[in-house]
Amino acid sequence: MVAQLSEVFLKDPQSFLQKIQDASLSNPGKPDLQGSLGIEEAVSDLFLNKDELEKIPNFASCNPNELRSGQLLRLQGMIQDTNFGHEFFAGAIKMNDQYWRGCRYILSCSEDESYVDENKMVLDERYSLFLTNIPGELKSNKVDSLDSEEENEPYKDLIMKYSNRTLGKEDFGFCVKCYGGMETRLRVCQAVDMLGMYEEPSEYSDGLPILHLITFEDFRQPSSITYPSEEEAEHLRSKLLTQFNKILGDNVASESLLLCLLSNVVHRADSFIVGSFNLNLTNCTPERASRIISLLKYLTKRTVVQKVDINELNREPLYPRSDGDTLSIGRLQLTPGTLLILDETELSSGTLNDTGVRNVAFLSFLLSQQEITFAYPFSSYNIQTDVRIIVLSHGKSILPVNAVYTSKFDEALMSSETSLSSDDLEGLSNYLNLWTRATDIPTDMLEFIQSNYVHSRRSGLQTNEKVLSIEINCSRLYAKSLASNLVSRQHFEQASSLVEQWTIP
Amino acid sequence: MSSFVSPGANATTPTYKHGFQTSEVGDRPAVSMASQPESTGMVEDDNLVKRKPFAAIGDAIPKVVDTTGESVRETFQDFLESFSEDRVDEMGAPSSSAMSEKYYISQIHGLAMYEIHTVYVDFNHLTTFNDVLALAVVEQYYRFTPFLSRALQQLVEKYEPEYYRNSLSQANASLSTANRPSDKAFALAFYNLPFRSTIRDLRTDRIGRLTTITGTVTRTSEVRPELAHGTFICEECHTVVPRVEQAFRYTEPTQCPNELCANKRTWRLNISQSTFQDWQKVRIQENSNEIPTGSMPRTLDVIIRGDIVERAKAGDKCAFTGTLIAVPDISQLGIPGVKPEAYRDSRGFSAGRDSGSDGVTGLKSLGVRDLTYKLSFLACMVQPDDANDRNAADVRGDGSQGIEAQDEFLQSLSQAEIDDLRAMVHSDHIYSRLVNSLAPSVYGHEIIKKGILLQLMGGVHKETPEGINLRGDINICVVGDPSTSKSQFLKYVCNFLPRAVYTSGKASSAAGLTAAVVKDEETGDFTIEAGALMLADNGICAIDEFDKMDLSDQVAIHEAMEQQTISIAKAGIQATLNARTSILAAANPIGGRYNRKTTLRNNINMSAPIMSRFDLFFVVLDECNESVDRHLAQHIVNVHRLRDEAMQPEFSTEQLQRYMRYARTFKPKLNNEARAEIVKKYKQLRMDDAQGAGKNSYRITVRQLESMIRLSEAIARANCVDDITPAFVNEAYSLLRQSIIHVERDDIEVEEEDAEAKEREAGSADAMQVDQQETTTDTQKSEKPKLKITYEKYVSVMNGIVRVLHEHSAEDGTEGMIASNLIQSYLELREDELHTEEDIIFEVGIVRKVLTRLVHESIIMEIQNKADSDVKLPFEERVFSIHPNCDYEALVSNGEVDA
Repeated sequence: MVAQLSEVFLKDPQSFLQKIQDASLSNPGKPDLQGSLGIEEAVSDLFLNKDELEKIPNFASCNPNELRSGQLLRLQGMIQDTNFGHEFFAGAIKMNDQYWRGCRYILSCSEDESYVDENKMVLDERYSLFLTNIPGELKSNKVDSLDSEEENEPYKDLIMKYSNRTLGKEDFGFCVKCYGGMETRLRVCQAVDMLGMYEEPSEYSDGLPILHLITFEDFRQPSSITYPSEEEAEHLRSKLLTQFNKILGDNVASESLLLCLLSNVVHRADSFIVGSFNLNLTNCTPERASRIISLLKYLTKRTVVQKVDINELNREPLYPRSDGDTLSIGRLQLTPGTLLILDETELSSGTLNDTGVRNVAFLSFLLSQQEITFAYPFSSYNIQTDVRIIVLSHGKSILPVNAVYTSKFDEALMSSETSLSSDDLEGLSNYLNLWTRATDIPTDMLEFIQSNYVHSRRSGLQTNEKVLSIEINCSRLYAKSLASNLVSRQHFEQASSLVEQWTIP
Repeated sequence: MSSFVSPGANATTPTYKHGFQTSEVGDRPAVSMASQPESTGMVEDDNLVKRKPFAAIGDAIPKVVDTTGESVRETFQDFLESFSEDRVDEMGAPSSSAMSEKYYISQIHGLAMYEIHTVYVDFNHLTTFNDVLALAVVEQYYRFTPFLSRALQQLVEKYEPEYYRNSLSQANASLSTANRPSDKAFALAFYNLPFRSTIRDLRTDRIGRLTTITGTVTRTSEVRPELAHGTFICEECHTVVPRVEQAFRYTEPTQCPNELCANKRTWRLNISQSTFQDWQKVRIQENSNEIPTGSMPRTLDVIIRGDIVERAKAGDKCAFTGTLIAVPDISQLGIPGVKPEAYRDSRGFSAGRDSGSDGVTGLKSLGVRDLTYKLSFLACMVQPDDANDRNAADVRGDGSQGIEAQDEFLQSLSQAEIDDLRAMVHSDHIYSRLVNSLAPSVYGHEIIKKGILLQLMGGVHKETPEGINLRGDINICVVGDPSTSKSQFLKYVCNFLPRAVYTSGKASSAAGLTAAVVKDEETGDFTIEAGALMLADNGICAIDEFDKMDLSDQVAIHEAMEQQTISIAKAGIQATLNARTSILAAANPIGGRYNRKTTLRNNINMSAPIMSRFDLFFVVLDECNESVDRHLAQHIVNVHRLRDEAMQPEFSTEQLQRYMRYARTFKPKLNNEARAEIVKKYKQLRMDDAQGAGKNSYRITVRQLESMIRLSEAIARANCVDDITPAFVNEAYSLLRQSIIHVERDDIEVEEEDAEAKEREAGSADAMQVDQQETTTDTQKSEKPKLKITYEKYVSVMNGIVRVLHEHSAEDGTEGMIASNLIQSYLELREDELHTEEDIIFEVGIVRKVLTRLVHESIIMEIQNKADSDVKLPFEERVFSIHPNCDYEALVSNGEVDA
């Protein structure tokens, strides 16, 4: 049954959707156009069936010139702006004074059909979103020939209007239209995998391609995840640490880096962020930093590198901002799950201008609160996010990090041979997907941690609530690195010994 | 709506329209009709159909007359003509009512006097006059606007005929009155609508309804002249086509009225005979406190016309009254390959304010899918919205005034919420329970939580008759050792309160905090950019790392902290902006750790004027204490384990916000006893300050008196009462003392002179060890026989001694008392507090030391034996008396309080 249904859907989506709508509008009274009209429910199980899903062209891997209006399309991207427009349209029209006909997703309508009296039409609303590339995600290697550029030529001037919303020239911009309150479930900055009906760019759409959204899925992780087992994890862990050692030349630095890569925001207790962990590795030169960056880019797919130096900070706002009319993207408008590497190695003394000060404030807020600030005229808004942040710097970073560690870069441990086989790479990237996993602290650990803390306080060790908090957090990350669900005493001790090596600012 | 009936349903005014005008379907908005299909107003009335004068064209096209609209017009005209304010009172005697001026007629006379064209209608008046009419106006505002407007025109013509004629263009003046649909010369502006919406609330059902929306103006266009009615000349036969109604876009006549001329295209606008009106487009954005968390602010274009242009300025919070209109998306209308003629009508909304009227017929050429509308708001009235913030999330919104605000707030709640609130208000010990519910992720620090609660409550803003504002906002500074969750308090407040701004002193310059004059690169204009303090207007500005701020930058916020304004004089711009902000600052002590041996002032890098502007200072020390540490560790682990009990306070954030909103509607006043109490407490503070113990730091000034009043008000609010009792004053006093005083009055070190130290009794030495908590460190103690007692203890001993001395001198008239007798009398005074022998021995030790110190402090003096002043008498035999410079009365009053 499911297969059949999806077959019909894939073959002729328009009439399939028309049927569903008409069925839900079968009541002769004035239709109520709230909700999805059963469309989303009907197609949602498609997402479960990966094979079927594969049959739908994916924007990331197809040639945009071959797409035609009215066909189904899958699209992955980041929601850059949720306020891209709010419009009314004829949502349902009464046909031959007899039955109501839904008009959602119906892109073409013959002339004679479209005569409607005001009493024979119900207005519906739809919200538009602006969708662009997921920042930091590697661009797909699709053949973007120069022809397509020319093809778009007629709308080039129109598209220019939206160039502030995309980062690079090669980035795409899509207008996504949401029906039936779907927009309330989408958040700005969210990475989503969408399924919808494609509409070719036209003059009316200012040259932007349009996707009429049918259903979507959160796209936090690049693919479906199978976490490694504990044994696998232990093996992969040591493998990964060996790799890290090759570029960091320091065991503690490697372990610290690993913990940072596995951190995620577990919970927000009013202002207290549980789970996030930003690491500052000092003693980095630009060369060392670039080696670290290239390895991490290799391992984590969604990696954004931002240089932090006077020029870069003063140059342009890194944060998304609006002038009251349109929302411009900032380089650090990131989706949750991104790995952000702040490269401070080329920082030198100088004067920050207004933009620079704002950028520093933005970065500080991102690090300490895991929130992205959107600057609007006369006000600003914070959107919660969950990014992993590593700061590479020569001395202690200017930004508020959780922990600072001076990596030794011991030549004896380092090696220039860092290449990985593709199998290894896949295994290791998959291992790093553990970062989304939840790990709990069992009740019996409470007494242990408590007495441990009291003991170290009494013996005059430099510890305080902040350190304790980091120790607990890192013990959780440590357990996560071993794919363990529960934090054990050993994890806590290992984490504590790491924390002892760090400077907690 | 269908029940709307009014006298004079048979319209008498001709609803004549020129045939070539584009608004043929009558003055009703199709889009709004779509949501009001059952409206009787749609019924066509054949009796009233008028024929066009140019019979050749469109021979038999019937004109549609909206009878309901006509009756609305009549009733409204009646309202304008007969309404007088006495009707509102409903108690004016008939005679006075007859005498009293008609409210709107006098406004119409005023139009001529001030040369304005807008009549302002209070919606409350309309409701009292005829609620059916009021309902009609709200429900189908867009439809009835032309009728309402026509009613006004007729009245202006009736009462101010000369002004009316002058206001019309000459071209039209030549026409007969009946032929003039001149409904644009005068405008109506409605205000005081009972409900306000946000941009987010605007849905299809709001189209065409009279609505008030609020928002922050982000952008204003320049004021442009908009063609209201154009006079066109046919280029082919030179026929003049007057008064073609225009709106939203340039509209030419469809066809030349000359029968012999088939011109549809070539027209020339005769500017001198056309009428123009002011037009402005304003972009508004949702108020920052009205946005659901995690959402982006929405924006909307507002179109303003006539007299009300330039009323809204960028940055203002404004309320716009008018209606939502749906303008077909123009970009979609320019379909290539379709001849312009084919869809001229659908370009639509060319029919002036009747913009929607062609939208639906336009479907034909557009096809259904192309029919999308862009939303705009057509406003007839703009009002500033600062005073009337009524958002549920706006905890600190002071609302309007007193009881009214309270009722209003309660009305905005659901019954369940009211019940919940009532339960909270009437429960016991609400104050301390509120305190415990604040910042649940921070362990302990109850006193800081108290301070923050009071800051959130705030004192009462007052204005002196001279117009000077007295702030009600409470400023708080938290000083303390690193990693003692100072920042957490700040962040908590920022999350709790929508209009709170978090900023770090390290990263913000004075300009970033206050306001900066910025040059717009495109236009070259200077504009004022709001800083954190302005953004937190009516909220809390949390400044972390306050000490890292430049001293010069700290000075820049002096003004904001006391006067609650920010003045700018730069680049030719002079402005005073509101910054009614409470400041919650966190500072690290100089050198990283708080030095308990020195004063607060020496511990933080802050100038005295800034310090005095803080109502409360809190010091957080990182002290080693096993049980505290144990609980702290437990708390942190639980937070990390997401265990609910650690995070779930008794009241949820929403409950707290609701309670605070309610509590803030109270305007507590001091009662007589409380007033006396405040005076007493203030005197006491001043005394303490003047007396030696406080010599180290902080001057108690009038500012602290004001602080005490503010704190008392805030405590009263927290308890939801209007009356400030002495108990509240006492709580405020103790907070002040515990915050400021506790810090500046370090524990008092008392020591005996070396000579006495040697003859110390063994018992007192033991006692000192018992008093471990007050002593500094073990090493110090062994080196020097020093003893630390709390400041309170010191004062209490001092008071006891002074009282004994005073009574002694009053009894037998002799000055001076021998030490042993003095101690004896003192111990008798404190009899009930001393229970064991050890207590007594310990107390004696303290008294001896305090006596020594009091001599140093010049509160008492030692009467020397004149004969041989060099010889030191044993302690017991020395004679003490009150120092002549000591103000006994003040001391005693203190003492009584302490006792």
